[in-house]
Amino acid sequence: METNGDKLLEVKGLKTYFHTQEGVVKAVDDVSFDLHQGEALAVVGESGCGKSVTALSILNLVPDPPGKIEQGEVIFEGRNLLEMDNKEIRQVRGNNIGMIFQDPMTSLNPVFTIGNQIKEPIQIHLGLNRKQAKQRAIELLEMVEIPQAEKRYKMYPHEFSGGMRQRAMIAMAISCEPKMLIADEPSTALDVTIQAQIMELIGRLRRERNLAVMLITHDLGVVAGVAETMLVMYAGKVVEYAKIDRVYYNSRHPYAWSLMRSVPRLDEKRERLMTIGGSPPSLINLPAGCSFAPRCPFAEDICDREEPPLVEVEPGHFSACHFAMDFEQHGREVAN
Amino acid sequence: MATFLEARGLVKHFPLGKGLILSRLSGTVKAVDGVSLDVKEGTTLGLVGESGCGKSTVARLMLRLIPADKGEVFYEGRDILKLDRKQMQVVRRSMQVIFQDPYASLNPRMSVGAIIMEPMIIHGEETKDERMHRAEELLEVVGLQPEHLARYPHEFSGGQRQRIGVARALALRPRLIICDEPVSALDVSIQAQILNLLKELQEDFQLTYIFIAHDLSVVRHISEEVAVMYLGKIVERAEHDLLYSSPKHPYTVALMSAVPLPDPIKERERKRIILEGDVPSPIDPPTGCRFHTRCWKKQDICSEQEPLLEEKAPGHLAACFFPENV
Repeated sequence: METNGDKLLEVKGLKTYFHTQEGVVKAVDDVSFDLHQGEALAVVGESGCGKSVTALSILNLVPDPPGKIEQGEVIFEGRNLLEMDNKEIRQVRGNNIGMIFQDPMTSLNPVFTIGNQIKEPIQIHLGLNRKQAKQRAIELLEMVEIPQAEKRYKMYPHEFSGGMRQRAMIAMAISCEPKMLIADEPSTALDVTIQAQIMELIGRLRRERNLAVMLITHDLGVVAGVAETMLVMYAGKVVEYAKIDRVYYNSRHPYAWSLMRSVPRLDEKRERLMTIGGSPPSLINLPAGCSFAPRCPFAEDICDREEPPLVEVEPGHFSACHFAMDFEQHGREVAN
Repeated sequence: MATFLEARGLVKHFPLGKGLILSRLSGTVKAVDGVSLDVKEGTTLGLVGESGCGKSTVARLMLRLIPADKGEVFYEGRDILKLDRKQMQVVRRSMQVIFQDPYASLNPRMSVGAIIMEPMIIHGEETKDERMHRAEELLEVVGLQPEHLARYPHEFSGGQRQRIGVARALALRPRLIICDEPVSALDVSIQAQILNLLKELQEDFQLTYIFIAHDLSVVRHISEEVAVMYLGKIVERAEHDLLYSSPKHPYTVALMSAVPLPDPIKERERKRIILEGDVPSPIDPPTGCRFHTRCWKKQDICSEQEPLLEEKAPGHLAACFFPENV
C-alpha cells in the first residue's frame, strides 16, 4: 500500500491457534499487513475476531500453552520477531514497540506508585540511573499532560482517574522512544469527553514523533477520526484492508458494509438500524467456505462451499468476498 | 399524552464514613441534587451523562430501589415514595430494569428458565406450567429459542445474554422499563440488534423506557426526549431533535463534539471542543454552575450563582447563564 513512510512492520501469513480441550481455536488465521513509519492503522472487528491476538502475536506475547504461533513472520525493521529468543524480544518490547491496553487499572500494579512503574522500563531499557530515570518519568508525565507531574509521580494508581491512568500508561509506553505503538482499545473504558482527550493525545504524540500506531478497536467513530488505513477482521481472518475512506464509502465486503450501517450515529436519526443477524461464529467449528456466509445478506451457494481469497479490488484495496469485484451490482441483484 | 411518571426535586446524598471502628461522617457524595423529570407513556426518555453524574442513581430513585432524601415520584398520579411495602410491591410489578452487564446480571448458577421465571414466582404468578409456557413465549419474543430454557448463561454470547435479561424484564408484563446502559457492553453488530429489539418491544407492548446511556448516538436513536446530566443535576432537557440540532448548554455541546462520527470526511472537517481535566468530585462540587471549572464561556457569575433549569427556547430547558445557539 502506498504511504509516505518506510515500511516498519510486515506481518506475513500469521497464524495463531489456541489448542483447547474442545478443539483448535484458529484465533488468527493467515493475517498479513504492513505498517509504515508514522502510519496509523486501525484493526477493527468484534470481540473474538482475533484483533487482540494479532497484536499479542506481534510481540510474541501469546500465552503458550494453550496458544501457539503456528506460522508466519513478523518482520520489524528487517528482523523476524518470531524467531528471536526471549532476551532479544524483550529488547523490542517496550523499547521499539510500546503497548497500551484497554483497562488501565488492570495493567497498572496497584501496590507501586505511578512513578515507580514508569521509571522501571526506563531504567531497564535506557540504562539510566535512578535519579535520571525519575527526571525522565516526570518529563513523560508532563508530556502526557498530567498536571502537577511531580506530585502525581508519587501517587498510586487508585488515586488517579481513569483518564489519568490511561495517560500514565501512554507515558510508560512511549518512555523508551518506541517507533511503534500498539493501542488495544485505549479509550473504550473511558467517558466520551475523556476518550476525546486520549485520542487527541495519541494523535499529537504520533505527529510529534512520527510514531506508527496500530489501533485496535471496535469503534468505527474512533477509527474515522484517527486512522489512515484499516484492516477489518472477522473470525480470525482479514476480510477487508484499505485506506479508511475506501472502506467507509466504498466497502467491498458485506461484513464491513453492514457494520457501517448498523451503528447509531449522532449526526442523523435512523428509524431502524441495519442489523447483522446472528452472532460471530465459534472459532472452533468455523463454517466451511466463507465464515461470514451464515450472517451475510448477499450470500450465494458458492459462499458456503468455497473460502473467498483476499483479492485486490482496486489498487491498495483488498477484500475477501466472492463478489468483491462487482459488489454493488451483486447487492442490487439480491435486493431485487 | 398524560404524564406517566414524574419526579420532582429528587435529592440523594450518600454519606461517606471515615475510620473503621468509630466511623464518623467525613462528607457526602451529592449524587443527585434536585432532579425533576417526567416521561410520557409509551415514549422513551434518554438520560445521558458521564460516569458518576448520577444518572443511574436517578433511575434507582425513580423506582424506589433506594430511598430518596427529598423529592417526590409520581407514578400514574400517586407518590410512590409514600406507599407502604405492600402497595409498593404491587407497583413494582409494572417497573423493571435491564442492566448493563449481561455477564454480571444473570446468576450463573440458575438456568435461563429459572432466571426468567423467578419474578413470576416472587409475585405469585400463575401455575408452574403457565410460567413455563410464558417463559418459552418470552424467549421467542426476544429472539431466542424455547429449548434454551434449560441452558445456563455461560452457554450464551453477550448479545444473547442481554436478550435473556430483556426476557426477564418482560416477565411480569411491565409498563415501565429502566434500561441502564443496556448495549454498552455489547459488540457493535449486536448493539443494533438489541436496540431494534427494544424498539419493537416498545411498539408491541406500549412500554415506557427510561434509557440511561453515556453514548449520545445510541440515545439519539432510541429516545423521544433527552435529559443531559452533569454532577447530579440536569443541565439540559429537550425533545431529541431540538437537543441534537441546537444544544444550548456548553456541556452538551462539548459532549456532542467529543462523540466520534463513523465518517472520515466529517471527522477531518470537524472542529472538536476538547474539555480539559476530569469531572470534579461530587463530594465537593464546584460552587455556582457545576460545569464552570471546565467551561470555556465561564464568567464571574458562573462561580457565584447557580443557573436554574429554564426554558431557553420553546420546549427546550437549559441551566446556563450564557447558553449556545440562542
